[in-house]
Amino acid sequence: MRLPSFFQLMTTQAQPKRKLALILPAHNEEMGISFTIHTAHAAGMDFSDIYVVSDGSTDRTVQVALRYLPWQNALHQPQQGKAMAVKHAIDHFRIVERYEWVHIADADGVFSSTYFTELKNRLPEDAVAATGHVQSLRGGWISKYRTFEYTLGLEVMRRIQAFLGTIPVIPGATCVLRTEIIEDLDFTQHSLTEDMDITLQIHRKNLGKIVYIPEAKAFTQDPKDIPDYVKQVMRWYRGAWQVMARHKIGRRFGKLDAYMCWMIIEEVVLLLELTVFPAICWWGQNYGLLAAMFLNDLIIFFAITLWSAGLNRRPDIISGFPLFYFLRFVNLYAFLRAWYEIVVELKFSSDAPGWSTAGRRYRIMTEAVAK
Amino acid sequence: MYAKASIPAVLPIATTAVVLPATGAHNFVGIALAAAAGLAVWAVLYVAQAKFGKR
Repeated sequence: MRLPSFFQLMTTQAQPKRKLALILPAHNEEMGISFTIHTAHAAGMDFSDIYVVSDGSTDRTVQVALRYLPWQNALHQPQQGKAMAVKHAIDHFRIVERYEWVHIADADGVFSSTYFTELKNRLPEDAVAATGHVQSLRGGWISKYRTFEYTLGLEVMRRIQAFLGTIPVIPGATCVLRTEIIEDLDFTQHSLTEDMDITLQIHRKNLGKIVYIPEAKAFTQDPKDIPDYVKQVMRWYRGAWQVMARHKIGRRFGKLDAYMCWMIIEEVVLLLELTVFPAICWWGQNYGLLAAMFLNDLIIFFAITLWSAGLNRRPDIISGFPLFYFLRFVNLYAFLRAWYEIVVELKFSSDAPGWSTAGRRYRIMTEAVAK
Repeated sequence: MYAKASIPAVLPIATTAVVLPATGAHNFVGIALAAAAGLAVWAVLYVAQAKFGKR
């Protein structure tokens, strides 16, 4: 029989549930975790409601976290992967019994100054999960492109998804779950994109509504160079194909399946537009059509970039515009290659309990947080 | 598709389908070449500034 921990003994008395706990799963995050805890506290979280679970860290992640947190709020476990670390923390800290909601965030996450205050005030009674707004930290041209992508993806697409009830992924940077549904979720899937897996479980098990709270803004670190970017988008696309296959997306009637099929069709059309269609035009010497397509794409792409720069009050985003084309092709390459690997070759059926962020971290400067 | 968004690919195709019959294809080739050249110069200048420019 397993004996209860000291922490469990200390908290067994029945008390009213607190509103929100924050769990930070971490693997070798000594460089950034103090900044994350600091911004979480400044954004409205008590230190006593922040929990760190170190998944096989070999650095001083736990020691650094404990400079701020009560000694019982940090936990170390052998490396089992992020999802298992979260589940372990939820069980160990008795989150379900003690809190109404649990927020899971990346240990390199940065929160806007009102993030948790907004969340606590806006979490609705009729929802079981929520996601906030994700923004890129200021950085190089990859970060500029990500700002463009996140602005379009969240300001437009995420609002439509929330309206339709088809949010396909609650990003790991800003994932809030009602503790009542934790027991219904399976954290043992070892998915490459565990956040998308959890989200689709909520849909498939009809656990309830997922809401988008744009007023709660979180920031994420982006890859600092092209190899890192390729590695990240490959993981995203592989994970997306893997999770969609696991949840049999497209094989049932319903708005979620319809919406996600539309997303795939969009990518296929973009692939045809940027590769096959120009090749056919060139081969057929129909240069006028090719030129018109290019100009239309350019005008629309540039207009959205201008809008994104204006909305974020970041004119610097425009400066990297020509290089964005390159990243669009990288994304298409990743989309196709991941489809071939997952759907045709049936590779990556499960994920080793590793951390994709290993080696990516860099020290976050305060000025990197966009106002 | 996962956590990001590309521009809706149907938009350029739809606008081309509308604009092209009305104006004639030959008008666009020169403009497109100039735009492509401009983008290339812009990209080179950006990379050069990022690599050698003052921080």
